[in-house]
Amino acid sequence: MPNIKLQSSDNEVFAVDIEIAKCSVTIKTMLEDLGVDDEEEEVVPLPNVNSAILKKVIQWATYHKDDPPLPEDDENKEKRTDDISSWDADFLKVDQGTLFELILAANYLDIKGLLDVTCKTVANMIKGKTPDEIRKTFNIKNDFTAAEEDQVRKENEWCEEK
Amino acid sequence: MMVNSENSDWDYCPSEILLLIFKYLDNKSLFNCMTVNKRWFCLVSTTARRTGWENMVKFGISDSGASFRKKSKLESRDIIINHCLWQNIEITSAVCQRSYELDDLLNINVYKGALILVGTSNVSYYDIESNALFKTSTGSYADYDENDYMISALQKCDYLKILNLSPKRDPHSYWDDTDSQAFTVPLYKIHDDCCYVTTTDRCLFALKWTEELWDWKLLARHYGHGVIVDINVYQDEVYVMLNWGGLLKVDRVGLKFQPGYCFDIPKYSNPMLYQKYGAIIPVSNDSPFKMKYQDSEHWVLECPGLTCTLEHGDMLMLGYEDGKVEIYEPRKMKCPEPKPILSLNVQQFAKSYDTDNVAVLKLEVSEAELSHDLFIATKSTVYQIKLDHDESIRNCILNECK
Repeated sequence: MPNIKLQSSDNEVFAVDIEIAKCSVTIKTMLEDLGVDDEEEEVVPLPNVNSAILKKVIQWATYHKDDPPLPEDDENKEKRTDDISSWDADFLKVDQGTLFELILAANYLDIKGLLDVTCKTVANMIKGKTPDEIRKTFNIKNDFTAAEEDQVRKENEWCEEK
Repeated sequence: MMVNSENSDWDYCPSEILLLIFKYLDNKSLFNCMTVNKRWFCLVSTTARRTGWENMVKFGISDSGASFRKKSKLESRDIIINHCLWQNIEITSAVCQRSYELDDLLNINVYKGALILVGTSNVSYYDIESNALFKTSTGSYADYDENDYMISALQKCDYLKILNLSPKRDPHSYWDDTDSQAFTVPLYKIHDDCCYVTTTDRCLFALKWTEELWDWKLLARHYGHGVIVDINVYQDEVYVMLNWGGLLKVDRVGLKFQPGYCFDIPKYSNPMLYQKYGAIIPVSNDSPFKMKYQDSEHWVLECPGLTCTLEHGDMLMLGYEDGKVEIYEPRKMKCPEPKPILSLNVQQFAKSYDTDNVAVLKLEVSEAELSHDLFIATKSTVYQIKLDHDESIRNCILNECK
């Protein structure tokens, strides 16, 4: 199988099977537009993805290389979030920063399967939480009122004591 | 794009990604996301425009039945915005707009933008927005629409006649004895178009006004010890509270009660039920105001001098014998001495100071555009209080929503 070389933002180069790399619509389009011959070994720069995240993305794409194409989104159907495979669930047991960067990378590289599963994971983290808990989980600042924030802080202090 | 993994900041998450995530959320979670910050408020609004505000009201707010949705004439979107105001924005003014004097006041109700004052001799209807009296009635309810009829009929004890209309009367009915306690005002709860009523203290009925007659059915009968002191509908399940703290859930298939939970409270303390998680009990005046968590979700709130409660959407309002009214957001009550988001006293609005007549007997709320009308009923006066938010924050929310 011919390889392709992907270069991360921090200049690390990864050799990847071209069919695996093509699960990224961005890379696929780039190769088609450039008219790259499969025989040549090209270096594709990915200035938006660092090596740690690119490594994870390649790991995911390699495991899922034989997956059937995903069906088109049905807007009217209620979306499930409880159908994450155990491999994906294990794969996504990462800190929040990594999860966030994986979403950004999946979005930039246009890998629908990875984007779906990472978004589902975040949705599961939101479900069943109060707004205060959501803010705390994702470290989001409440900008509705300043007074509100003090209140939240006080409550959290009490919760931690408990 | 490059984010340090130690302090990933979702504040900078691209909108299209947040929108993707929101697509996987149910309406209740979406509503919670809406009150996270201004940006999320705006993005959830975008999602809600697609999925429908109606669903958001129906499934996003805990108590969305008659006690919330049918009280005002607002559109679903504005109901959601008002609810965000309750939960996030400080109430900066509470002004008494008018008061209604009535010597023989039995009850007050708010229904579709109208304030309904039920007296012993007549029923008056006021349009809340214009304060105009638009209908009065002296006992013939033929021209009332369903919920009007329900409210007045129940309040004036006509339920006895109503139930007698049905040929399929329960042979064990307590009402055969016309001298029995059945003549007292029954305990009831209206949710959507259905009225749940205990005509004796052990049976729970569902009443529905269908065209020209009352459709009613027995939902469950309580055979154990204790009497039913409160009814609540939460997420389409019907719950009753017993005077010793037992919580029962109606099993609609089996036509019986099934045990739900047991709140640890003194016997005969007549708890009031909040959603299915909270028991609010009046305690003696020398006891402290106290929140006791029974486990991670169930709680008992001890309120000295408590006279009435109102569950409005996700908010909880308490009325006291000294004329005090407090508004809480129960989710923020996870501490031993929770602080209300608003506290006021009808004595500040009363014309003459009279301690006999300031006890709060009933609370009602109607939603107005970006503000709330609170009704406080005492023995002979109903106060209409306009609750308003800081204008700059209100405008801010409006701008975000566009």
